[in-house]
Amino acid sequence: MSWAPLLLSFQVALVATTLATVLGVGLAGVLARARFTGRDLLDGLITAPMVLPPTVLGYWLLHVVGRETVVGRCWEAVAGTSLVFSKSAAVLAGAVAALPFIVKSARAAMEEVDPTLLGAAATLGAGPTRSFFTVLLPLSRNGILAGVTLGFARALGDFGVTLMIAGNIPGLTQTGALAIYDAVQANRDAEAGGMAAVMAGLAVAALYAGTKLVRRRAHGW
Amino acid sequence: MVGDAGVLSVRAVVPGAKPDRPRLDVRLSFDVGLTAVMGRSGAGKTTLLLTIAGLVRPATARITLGDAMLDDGAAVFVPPHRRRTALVFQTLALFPHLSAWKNVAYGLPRGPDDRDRALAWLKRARVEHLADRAPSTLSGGEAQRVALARALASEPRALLLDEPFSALDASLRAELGAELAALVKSLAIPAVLVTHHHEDAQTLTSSIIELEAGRVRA
Repeated sequence: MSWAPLLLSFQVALVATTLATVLGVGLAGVLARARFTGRDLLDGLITAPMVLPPTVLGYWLLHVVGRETVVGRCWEAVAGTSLVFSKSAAVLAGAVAALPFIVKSARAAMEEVDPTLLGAAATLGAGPTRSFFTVLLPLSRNGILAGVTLGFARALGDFGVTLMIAGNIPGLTQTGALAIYDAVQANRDAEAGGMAAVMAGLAVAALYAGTKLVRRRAHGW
Repeated sequence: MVGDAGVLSVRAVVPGAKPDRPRLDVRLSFDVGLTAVMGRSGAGKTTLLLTIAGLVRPATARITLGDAMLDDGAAVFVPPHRRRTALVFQTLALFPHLSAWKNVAYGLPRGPDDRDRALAWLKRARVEHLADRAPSTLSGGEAQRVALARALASEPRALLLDEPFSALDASLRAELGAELAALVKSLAIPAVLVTHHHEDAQTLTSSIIELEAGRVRA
């Protein structure tokens, strides 16, 4: 069996989850604390990837980052190659898929934080940025960790969005999920089975580790 | 201890749910020293403190502290983190993820000797030995002292206390109250003590303000 697609899946999911975490925690903070018109709409947009068919999501992503779009042209001007059908597109697919899990979980955790603690931080001289990093973030850490774990598992398992915007190029964008599909189509059942076992094991291990981590942190104070 | 300590003057209207019944509609002045604010629950005591601290924004306002304009009801609204009006919440609001000394150090002006300065404040509040304890392991009286040390360590120009002794028994209340009064006196800043204990108000403070339905009772 081939390890390259599995390794690629792992790398892509790692980078995608990192990106989605930075963006997702920031968005969660805005959704949890700020009051503005369009907040629920933004929430809907972020959550949509959880329920949309991957083909629909991939279709819209192609219309945002495709070669003929503004984003696509800028990317090409800076990076020299097109964004779609590249490894970066696979990362984007994973990040978009992971984002709602992280935002949902982080937002719920942040809304649980006692607002008087943020008030106390403010009267002690902490501005919004400092209280975000020193009070809100540490106190919602468990929920964020849980979301990051789910997001990682989701990014690792992405099939449809990756296929739509990154393609199925062996050695470049063919992740584990895609390689398994190819192997099954070609009747290479042993190979598919091996990869499927590794993918399933990896996902369960990630979710298990995440739960353990959250539980240990929860007893920290 | 810091310059331009001075009178806290508050003119504020905070609208309530019903238009004819404001949460708060007051014109008050607090001299240097401890002033008690009394009243039933719902009278606007906590709202008054939150308004002074900048955590509630009044519809109509003119709030000054010494020579600093905190809120002129129009263009000037100093955000809470720049007011230096430390607030001891009724729930104390100690940060649960930080040890006692780190709670105190949170409001200290930044510097290299954070721990030493935090310990000095804990010592003044007579809880130096609890420096490394988590807030969840402190008794009510201990947590109260840490919260007070934290508020004072931020070098406030006004101190706001929301029923800080409500969870304590009578003897501890009297003891902490006397220490609080002494500390406030040494700092020479206005301090507003919300309480519903008449004895506290009479023994600790020089003046008492009574609120009723958001207004000062004549």
